[in-house]
Amino acid sequence: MKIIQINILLILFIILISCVKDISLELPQAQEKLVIEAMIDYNDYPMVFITKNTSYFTYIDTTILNSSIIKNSDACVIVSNGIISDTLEPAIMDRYPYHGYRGTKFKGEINKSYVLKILYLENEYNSTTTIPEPIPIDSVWFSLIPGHDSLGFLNFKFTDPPIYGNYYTFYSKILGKQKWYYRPSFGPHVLDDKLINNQEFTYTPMTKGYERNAYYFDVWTDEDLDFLDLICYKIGDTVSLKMSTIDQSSFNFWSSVYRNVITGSNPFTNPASVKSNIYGSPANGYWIGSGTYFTNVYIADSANLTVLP
Amino acid sequence: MRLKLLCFISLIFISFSLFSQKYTLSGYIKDKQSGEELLGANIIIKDQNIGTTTNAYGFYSLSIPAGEYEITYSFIGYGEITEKVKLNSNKSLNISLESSAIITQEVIVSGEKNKNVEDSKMSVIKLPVEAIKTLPAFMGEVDILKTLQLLPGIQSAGDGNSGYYVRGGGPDQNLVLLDEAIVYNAAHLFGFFSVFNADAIKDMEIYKGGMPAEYGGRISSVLDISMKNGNMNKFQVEGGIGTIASRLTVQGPIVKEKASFILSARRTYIDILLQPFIKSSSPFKGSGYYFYDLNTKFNYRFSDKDRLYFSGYYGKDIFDFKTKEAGFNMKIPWGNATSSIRWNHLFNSKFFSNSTLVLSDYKFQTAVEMGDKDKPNEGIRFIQDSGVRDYYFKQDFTYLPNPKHNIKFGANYIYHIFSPNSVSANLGETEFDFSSAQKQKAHEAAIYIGDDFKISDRLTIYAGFRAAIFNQVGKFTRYVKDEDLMNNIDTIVYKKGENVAFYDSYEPRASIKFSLDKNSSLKASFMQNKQFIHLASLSASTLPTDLWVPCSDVVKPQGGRQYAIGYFRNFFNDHFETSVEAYYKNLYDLIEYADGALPGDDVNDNADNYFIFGDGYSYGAELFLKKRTGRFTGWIGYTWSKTERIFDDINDGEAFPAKYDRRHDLSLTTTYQITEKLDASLVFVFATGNTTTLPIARYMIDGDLISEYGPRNSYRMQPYHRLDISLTYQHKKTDKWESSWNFSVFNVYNRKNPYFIYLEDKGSVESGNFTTKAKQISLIPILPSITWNFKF
Repeated sequence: MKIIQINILLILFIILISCVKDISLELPQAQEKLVIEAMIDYNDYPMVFITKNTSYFTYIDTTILNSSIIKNSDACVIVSNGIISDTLEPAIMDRYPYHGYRGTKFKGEINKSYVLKILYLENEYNSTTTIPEPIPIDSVWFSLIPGHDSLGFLNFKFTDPPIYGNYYTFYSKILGKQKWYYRPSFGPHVLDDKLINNQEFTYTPMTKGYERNAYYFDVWTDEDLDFLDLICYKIGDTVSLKMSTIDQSSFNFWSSVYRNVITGSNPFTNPASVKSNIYGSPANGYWIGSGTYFTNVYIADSANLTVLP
Repeated sequence: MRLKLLCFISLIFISFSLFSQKYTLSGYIKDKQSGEELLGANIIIKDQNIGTTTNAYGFYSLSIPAGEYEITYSFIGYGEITEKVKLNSNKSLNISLESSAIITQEVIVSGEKNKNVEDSKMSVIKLPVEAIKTLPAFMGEVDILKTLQLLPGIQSAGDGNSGYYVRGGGPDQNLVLLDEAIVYNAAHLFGFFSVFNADAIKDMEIYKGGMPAEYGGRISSVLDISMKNGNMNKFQVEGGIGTIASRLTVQGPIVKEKASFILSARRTYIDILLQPFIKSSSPFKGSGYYFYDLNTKFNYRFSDKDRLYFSGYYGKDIFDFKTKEAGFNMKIPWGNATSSIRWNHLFNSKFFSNSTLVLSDYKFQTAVEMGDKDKPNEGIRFIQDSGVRDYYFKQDFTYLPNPKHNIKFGANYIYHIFSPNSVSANLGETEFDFSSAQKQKAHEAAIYIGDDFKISDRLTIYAGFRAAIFNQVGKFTRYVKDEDLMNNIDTIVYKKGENVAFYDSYEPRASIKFSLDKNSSLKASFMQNKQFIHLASLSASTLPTDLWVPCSDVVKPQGGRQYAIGYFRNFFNDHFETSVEAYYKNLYDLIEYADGALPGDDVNDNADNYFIFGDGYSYGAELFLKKRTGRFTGWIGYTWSKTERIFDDINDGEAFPAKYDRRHDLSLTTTYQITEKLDASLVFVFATGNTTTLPIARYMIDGDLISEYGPRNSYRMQPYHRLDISLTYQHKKTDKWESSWNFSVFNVYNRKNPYFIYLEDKGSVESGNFTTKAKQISLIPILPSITWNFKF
C-alpha cells in the first residue's frame, strides 16, 4: 500500500473533524503558452493541434475553449524529413480542438527523423522525433469478467526485439461505435523497454478506452454512466488495437503526463510537472513519431475471436 | 587531525596541574520535599563571582583554595540557601532547597537570576515544567512542546503538524532526548499533543544553536528532557481528569533516601466517549482513535558515589477504521518505546562519570484486513511496517579541575536498524513472499571534548570538538532506477556486514561571552555539524507516515553550519530579562522527494531512490522580553527570518522558500496571579502563513486535464493567529491534599487557520459551467476544556 494512500486515510479522518471553507486565491499570472500536440505515425501524414493554456481558475465554457484554439493561418506549421519541408494545411475534425494542421507531402517512414517547426506571432517552436520500427502483435484473446456473460477485456502478446530503446503506447477503438483511438481506461498506456527488452510480453487485461476529457463529463460522478459498460468490451464488438513504438523523449513525456494526472492537485504529494519535448519558445506538449501496428479483431463469443485482415 | 586533538587534550590537562593547592567542595542539590535532584541549580561563592551549576544528575563540584566561604545555593522556583563552609580538606555537602511555591506562592517563569547574562551559552532556553502548568492547555493537556513553540526561533508549522522547526531547520533536525534516549516522533495525533506527559517530566532544556559537543546527530537543535526520579521521601499520587484524556502518576520511595520509583500513565478516551453515540447500524461502528503513554523510572543510590537509573517510555497512537458492510478493517498503530539504564559514578569529587545504555524504537504500522470475518481463511491481510530501532551506548565524563573549567568528554556508539518499509501479506492461507523488503543497518560512533573556560570575570569561552562516523553495512540490496524512477535497471547486492557507505564528520563548536557590566553581556557562537539520518516527507505537513531514512550509498549526511551573535540585558534588578539574537545558518545535502514521486512498498525498491538533493540557508533575528518575577509574569518573543532551499531539480535551480519559511513569528505569553488561589493566563500567537505549491494554469493533452504548477512554495497561505486563555483555580490545598481546576479556551475568537488548500472541479464544459474552487481546510475551532488536577 502506498504511503500516500495511508496519508489520505489519515487526512480523511482530519477532514471529518475539520472545517472547510471556500477561499479565493490570488495566484500569479500564468505565462501564456502554446500547447502543441503533434504526431507523425508510420504510413500517415503529420498532424498537429495547437491550443493555449488557460489560467487555473478560468471559468471554462465553450467560448473560452474555442478562444484557446490556434487555427487556420494563425500559426505556420512546418514538418521536414530532412529533404522535403511540408507546410501543413489547416484541417478540421469533430473532436476538440476541432481545428488542426495536416501534412500533404509525405507520410511517416520507419527509422526516419522529422523536424517540427511552428511559427506563431513572434515565437518559434522546435522539436525532433523519430519513428521507431513497429512491433507486431502476436496474438489477441478475450476474457469475460467473472459473473458476466458478455462483458470482458482483451489480452494480447508481443515480442520485444533485442534492440534497446523502443517504448510502447497502447490504444483501442471499437469500430462503428467509437470515432477515435483511446488509451486504456485502466492499466498502463505506456511501457518502458527496460522492463521487457528482448522478452515476450503479455498485456493483460486491456480495458476499453473512453473519451476521458473532463471537459465533457466526469465518469466518477455521472450516475447515468454504467461503469462496466464504459471500460469493458462486449461480445459482438469489432476492436481495432493500435500499438505504437515511440522513442525515449516521447516516453518521458507520457510518463510525466501519467504522474501529473494521478497526483493532480493533491496537497499530499509534490507536484509533478509534465516534461514537454518542444523547445524554443516556452510551450507545453509533444512531437511524437510512432511506429504504429494495427490489429482488428471481432469478438465472436467468449472463446472465439476472429482476427480481421 | 588525531595528533592535533591529542595535543589539545594534553594541553588542557597539563594546564590544570599548574594551579596551587586546592580543595574540592562537591555534592548533590535536591528538592527538599521530593528528594528529586535539581538540574542546573546555581552554586555561587558570595562576593567572589565564582560559581558553578549542577549537572544533569544534580551533582556539583567546586575546587577552590583553602579558606572560609559563604556559599549560596539557588534554583529557579526555589528558596535560596547560604551556607558557611570552612574548606581545609575535600568536602561533600548535599543541599536540599525548598520550593518557593511553598514559601511565597510567587510564580517565577524561568531562568535563574542573571543566568542568561552570565552563562557562556547562548540560544539555550531552560523551562521547568511546573512553570508552564498554568498556561492555557489544548483540551486540558499541558504540553511542553507546544510551550516551546512559543519561544523565539522555535516555530510550530500550525495545527495538525507534528514537527517543530528551529531557525529554518527541518523537523528531523531536532534531537529529542528523554532521559538520554532518542525519541523519533515526539507527537501524538498529528502534533495536537506531545508524547511527553507533563506530570512525569521534571525539566527541559532546548539549544537552538551553539550546542555543546556532547550533543550530536542532529544539526538544528537539541531538546533535552529529564524525567522525574520519583519522590525519595514519601508516596505521592497525582493526576488529572480532562475533557478527552486522564492521567495518573504514582511515585514514592522503595527504600527511603536510597531508592525511589515513578510510574505515570495517560490515555485519551474520546473513542470510548463517542461509541454510545455511534449507532450500532452505522457502517463505521468500532472505528476510532486513541493514544496512550506510560512513563516509568526507577533509581537506586548505592552510595554518594554510585547511582543507577532505569527509565522507560512506551507510547502509542492507534487509529482504527472499520467498515462492517464492506468487510474492511484498517488499524494504524504508531509510537515510540525507549528504555535507558544509566550509571552515575564519582571517581572523586572532581571527576564524574555517566554510562548510559539505551534502546530506542519507533514503529509505524498499517494493518489491513479485507473479507468476510466469518471466513477467516479466505480474506486478504496486509501489514506494512516502517520504523527505526537504535541500540545506544554512551560514556560521558565531567572533569571539574577548578571553578574556571568545566570539561566534558566522552564517546558513544549507536547501532541503527532502519526499516523504511517492510511488507507481509496473505490471501487466505497463502503467504506472499516479500523477502526482498529490507532493512538498512548502520553503525554510528562519536567522540567529543568540550571545555567551558572562564578566562576572567568578563570573558568566558566554550570550545568543543566532536568527531563522528557512520557506516552502513549489508545485508542490503540497491535497486538502481531509471531516470523516471519507473523501473529497475540494475541491482547491487551487499553481503552481510559488507561496507555499503561510510561517512565522517568533524564538528567544531565554540561560543564566547563578554560581560559589558553586571547586567549585560555580548555573546557569539559557532557550530558545525552533520546528521546521518533524514526524514522524508511526501506531504506539505508532517505526518506519522513520514519515513526515517539513513545515509546510504545514494544519500549523503545532511550538514549545518550556524553563526549567531546576541546581546543580553536584564533590567530592574533582574525582574526583566531581554535578549536580541541574530543567526545565519547554512544547510547542505538536504533531501526532498522528486517531483511527483510515489514511493511504494520497498519491494524490489529502495525508499531513497525517490529523493533529490539540495542545500538551504536561513537567517533571522530573535527578540525576547521576559518578566521573570511577580504576580504578572510572561514573555514576548518575536522572530524575523527567511529560510530558502536550493535544489537543482526544483525551480530550475533557483532558490525557493522552504515550506515553513516564515517572515514574522510573534508570541505573547502571560500569567497573572489574581489571588493566591486564582491564576489567569493568556497566549497569543501570530505567524506568517505557510508556503505551498499550487497550479497556476492548465491545458488539455489527449483529453486529460494537465496542471501547470507555479514555482515551488510560491503561494503563501493566510497568516496563522490564535488567542488562548485559561483560568487555574486552586480548589483545595492542605499538607495532604491538593486539587485544582483548569479552564482553558483554545482559539478564543474561532480563527479558521489554514491547514491546507485543495482544489475542487465542478460542472462540465458541455453544459458551460466547468469551474474550479479553492477550499481551505482548518482544523481547530474554538475549543473550551476543563481539567481537574489532584495531588495527595
